Amino acid sequence: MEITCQQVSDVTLIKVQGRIDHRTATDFGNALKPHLNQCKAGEYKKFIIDLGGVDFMTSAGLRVLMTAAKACDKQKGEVAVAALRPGIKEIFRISRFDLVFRVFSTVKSALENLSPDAAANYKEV
Amino acid sequence: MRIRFWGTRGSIPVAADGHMIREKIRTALSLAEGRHFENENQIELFIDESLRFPIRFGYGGDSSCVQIEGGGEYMVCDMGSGLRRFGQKIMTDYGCGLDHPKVYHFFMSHVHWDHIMGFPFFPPAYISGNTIRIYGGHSTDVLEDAFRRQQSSPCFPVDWNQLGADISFIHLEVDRWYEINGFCVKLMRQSHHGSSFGYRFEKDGKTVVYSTDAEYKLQNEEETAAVEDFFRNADLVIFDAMYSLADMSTIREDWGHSSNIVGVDLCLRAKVKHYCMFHHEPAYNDETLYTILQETKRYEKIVHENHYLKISTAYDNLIIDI
Repeated sequence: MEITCQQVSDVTLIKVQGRIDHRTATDFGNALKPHLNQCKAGEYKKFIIDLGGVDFMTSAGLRVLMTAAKACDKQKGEVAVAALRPGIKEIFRISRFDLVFRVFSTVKSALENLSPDAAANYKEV
Repeated sequence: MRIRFWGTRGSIPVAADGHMIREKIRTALSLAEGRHFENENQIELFIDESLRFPIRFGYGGDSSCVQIEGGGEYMVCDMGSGLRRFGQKIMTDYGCGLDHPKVYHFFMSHVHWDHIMGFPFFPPAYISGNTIRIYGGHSTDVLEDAFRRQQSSPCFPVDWNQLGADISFIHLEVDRWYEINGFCVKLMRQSHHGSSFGYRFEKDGKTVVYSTDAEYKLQNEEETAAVEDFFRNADLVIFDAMYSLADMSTIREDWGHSSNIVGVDLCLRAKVKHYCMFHHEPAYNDETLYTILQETKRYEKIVHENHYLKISTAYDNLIIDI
């Protein structure tokens, strides 16, 4: 599991790759923390987690996402997820996470929704 | 070993109302498409082969009560409203049973109301000569107090002291093996208001785990590994799958219950053979429970790697042989 981060205007774009299960969930949570601390510090409030590179996720990974979203919500921040692969999208539906998370089909559409300014400055790699 | 479900609903018993029954009839007639049935067999065949489970049957609404057969005496987990029907069955089979005194072993997950409410309606408790042993991980004071208070004025017209059976309360410690009625029994403390206890029963190389009213958050790997160990290689795990993961992580967090997919993950890790969802949300109708079963099976297909897990949803009167 790997995480890379990119700042696009006022949006923090977090790209996740690999598998997130009970073996990697703690690492996933730890890797998200510094970025979410930005939220705590009031620096940035908008986060998009790009799950396009995630090919496997269990409830352990979902729990980490929920913990992150709650931490962010406390600081009046926003978390959205984007680019879910079909299997992950299905897991979001089965777990009803699609009802509590803002889910976008692409990173671009997530940016357009959260911050038109960031969307304008975003260059897909 | 045979597992017989007398009650499978969580929190409060429910019953299908007239509208729900009418909807089942309407759907069945609609699916029949005006066909003519030559005889009773054809009707039965149509019901069994053409109607989905929520149309032809249903999950029932009695609260938690699960019988484990295989020992010489009766063994039952929890005394929800399903216990009433278990008691009726015994009365039908043996009458007052004065000539056939029986021994009953009850294993209590905890003493919240939905898990004890069947006892005042359990006829064998009123018959002298019967022996009733009530086991639990809570102290005997906590156990006995709950039963006595439930069966005293103004809550119930027949006082506890009027019960004829010889009733005793027995405290069991966690992480220790006991031999009861020919079964090896072990307890595990679970996260629930006031704590609850899960049970692992082993006999003749077969294992069933009863784990209800337990909130498994899977946030602490050490705790999760202990649960995995408790479930390890079980033939059947009866699991509190009351909520969706989103519900148990948000509005129903710390309500003391787990989710359908957490059950899958735990059972896959523990290499369980059969995962049975239990303690159903009372607001869910038969269609919803059926949909959740299909979704849970689908989740298992997505995340299972090299272990196949059988998944079912418990319903009142279900029998599982292991």
